[in-house]
Amino acid sequence: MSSFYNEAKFLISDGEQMRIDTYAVGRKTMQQSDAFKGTFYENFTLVYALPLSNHDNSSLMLIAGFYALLFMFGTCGNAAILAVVHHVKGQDPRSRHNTTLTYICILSIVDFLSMLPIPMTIIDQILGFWMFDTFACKLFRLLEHIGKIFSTFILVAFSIDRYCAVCHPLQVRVRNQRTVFVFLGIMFFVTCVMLSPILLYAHSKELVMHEKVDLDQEVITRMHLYKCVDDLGRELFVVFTLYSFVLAYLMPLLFMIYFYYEMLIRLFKQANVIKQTLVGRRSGGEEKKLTIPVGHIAIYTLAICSFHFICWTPYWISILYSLYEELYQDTKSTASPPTYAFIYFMYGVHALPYINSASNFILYGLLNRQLHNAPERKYTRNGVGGRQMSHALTTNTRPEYSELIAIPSSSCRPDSRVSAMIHNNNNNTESLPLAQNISNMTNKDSATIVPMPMSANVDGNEIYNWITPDTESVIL
Amino acid sequence: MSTNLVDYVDDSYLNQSMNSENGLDSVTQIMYDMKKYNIVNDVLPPPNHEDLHVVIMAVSYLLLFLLGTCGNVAVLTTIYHVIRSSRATLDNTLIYVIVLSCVDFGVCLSLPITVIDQILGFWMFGKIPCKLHAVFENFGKILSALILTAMSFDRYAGVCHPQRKRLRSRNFAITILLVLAVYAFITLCPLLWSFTAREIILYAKETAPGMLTRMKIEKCTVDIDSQMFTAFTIYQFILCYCTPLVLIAFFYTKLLSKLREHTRTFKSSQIPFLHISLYTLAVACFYFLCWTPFWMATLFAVYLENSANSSSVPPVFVYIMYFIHALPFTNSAINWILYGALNGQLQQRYRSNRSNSTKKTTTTTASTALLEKKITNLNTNSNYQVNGSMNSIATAAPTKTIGNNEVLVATSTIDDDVATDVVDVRLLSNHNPTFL
Repeated sequence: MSSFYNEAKFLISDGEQMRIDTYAVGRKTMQQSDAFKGTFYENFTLVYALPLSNHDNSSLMLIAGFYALLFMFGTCGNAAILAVVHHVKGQDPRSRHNTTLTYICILSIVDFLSMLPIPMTIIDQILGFWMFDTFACKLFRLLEHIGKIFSTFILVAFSIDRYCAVCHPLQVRVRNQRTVFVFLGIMFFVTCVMLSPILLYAHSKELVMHEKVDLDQEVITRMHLYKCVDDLGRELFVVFTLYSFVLAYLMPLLFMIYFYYEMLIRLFKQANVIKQTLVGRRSGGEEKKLTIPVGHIAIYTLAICSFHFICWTPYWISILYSLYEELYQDTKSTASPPTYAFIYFMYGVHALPYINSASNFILYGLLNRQLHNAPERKYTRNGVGGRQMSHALTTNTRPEYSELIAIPSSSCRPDSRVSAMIHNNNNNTESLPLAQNISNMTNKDSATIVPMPMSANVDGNEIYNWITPDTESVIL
Repeated sequence: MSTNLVDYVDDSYLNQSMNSENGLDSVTQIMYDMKKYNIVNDVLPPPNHEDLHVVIMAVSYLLLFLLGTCGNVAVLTTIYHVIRSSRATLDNTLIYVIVLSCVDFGVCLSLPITVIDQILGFWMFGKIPCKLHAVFENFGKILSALILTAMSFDRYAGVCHPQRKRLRSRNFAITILLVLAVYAFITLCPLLWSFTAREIILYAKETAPGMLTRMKIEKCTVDIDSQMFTAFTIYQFILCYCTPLVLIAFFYTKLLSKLREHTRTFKSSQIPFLHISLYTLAVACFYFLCWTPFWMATLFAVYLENSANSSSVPPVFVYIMYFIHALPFTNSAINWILYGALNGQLQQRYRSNRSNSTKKTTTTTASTALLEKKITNLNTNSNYQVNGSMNSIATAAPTKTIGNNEVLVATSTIDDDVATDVVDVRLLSNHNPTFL
């Protein structure tokens, strides 16, 4: 640090008033500069000054503090989800091939990476200028936009995964691990292609804010700063914004709504069929335990879509608004400068995508029942005593819909074909009226009933065979 | 403490630079009479963004921050998940790991503040955040080191004195943690009280008749005189570094001696002595490597402060100090790997939940016998007495073929040994083995 400083005063326009700010400047002699050769200022000394930091601006510091909290919440939350998924996969060998857990892993990793630019944003806000170089600027933009585009693509893949699990449970190839990684690879490639203009043109740009000429001492004093800008051309900026809006916001939103809507329609039909099937049973207590929790799934799905809509729609509206300003700024030569309220509002709007990345782990990770119920399933296989204990605790502490996974002790799942045949022989007399009812229903409403893999002699044990592991994974 | 030390070195360095370049102006500064000037302009220095070492330090500290906060949260989440899934109660090892992760998380929270302070070159937050920053940083680091000492004692008690149940109870662990927190707070109380945002004038110049321009900054540093700071540093070194280090070395040495003796006596023992030895050495050496340079640098700075030729600070020393002060933060950021992720007890919890698996484990024979007891109780619903003799195990075992083989191996081992060794086996089987 140089111990010799000069002072420079600049007349700063502060709204409706004018004030004089004093800056400390370091001496950088730039004589014989090409820009000034042959002009009156050829022998002048060029001195640079940096603007003061924003640490006195309390509003800006509050925004920086909010970004810091967002960063903490996002990084630690996603790390926690990765730890839990790692633990579940290590404990249950079957869950290693679960496509939902794979999507949760990739989503948490991508959201974690999209949180990393926030410290750079905070330092940029506090200092008031970009203190890193062009390479850091490109990396900053890459990580920032990956979170916006690739993360959205993963959410769409999530909805497709659940749609296939509910509407096409027999097509196992669609939910294969290899298919998942191929799909993710294609989406990543599309994301990189979409972001290539940003990577090419992003750089650290020097801006000269003020310039003062001292004729007596032959000194030119400049106040300059650096900013990390995209610096796309006008036409390229318009094209980039429009196809980003269509491909990264509009189409994903429509896909998400379509797939979740189809999934809910299917689940409602299945729930109705199960209810009608269970009407013939004599025991009324078990009826509640076998119902698919459609209400819970519907609320969860609506929460996912609404949260995505709330976080991204204001952001893209502001982008389109700035695009509109860009296109028609020539005809608005008398446009007034933006007010402070508008600037702070834009800060809030641009924080919404970060809130989405920081909170995705709640909707897709914490609220996912697969992570919660995986250990329960293992625990019930330790023995008869453990099973009874587990069932008792489940009845007391779990909501009703999770009973579908913790099987009641009165209806043990058969471990082999021989055991199933024995049960069928024992319950042959009791299940006879049930079979007749199902036959009648099949004859009457054969066009509307969704076909299920049932045999003629259906009883309490056979219904569980229809609930495959893939179907269980859909129960949220 | 590290901020305070850096500030002392920075002040010496700055004074040296100013004296060497502007000797005459330095004398003139002292003679300024503030009453003569009608206007005083306070100017802030430009930020340190162009210094390469500041950028490297900032990136390194932020990486440590990410590693520390996310790693500790991951460990806490895993512990919560394990406890909830296995319905087991918290034992004292998990209590220590949980508190250690929380304390290390708090220590890592102070890293971004340090980064902003270094980039701007001055403290921008005010007096009260200055004290909070000092509490999180210094108190957390000392408490973290003390908890490592408590964990070494916990393992020592588990291996060398298994019959003393009280030493490893949950209440005892909580009491130890509270005592350590009070101990750390009392030793650090003079330092924490003295932290304040102190104003420093780097440069002053008369720029016009009746107008003085000076460069004034604030630094979050200790407002304490030199002699008291020297005494404080010395007893801090003894109480918070030497004592924990000696205790850690003592406890782990006794633990390894006990295990080696046990391994030599029972040839068929499956205790992974080599694994435990390497782990213990890694833990002790990591603590030594992170804290010894820090305390050596602190004592060296105190020596420089008291020596007559205070202008002999080399500029490269300031850069080395930045690296040395990152070492305690590295300790807090990596503790979750040594004590959490590599903790065999968490992994053993996973394995015990899969009692149906036939995977071969590295547990001891006594542990296998305990596992057989649990399975027997689960199958026959009998209320088996822990203090029963080995004959009871042989009686219960014939119901299972595999269990019978395991117990026969244990029985044959016991018959071949001397009577005193039989007592040791029984004592060992009375508690869950300690997995490092």
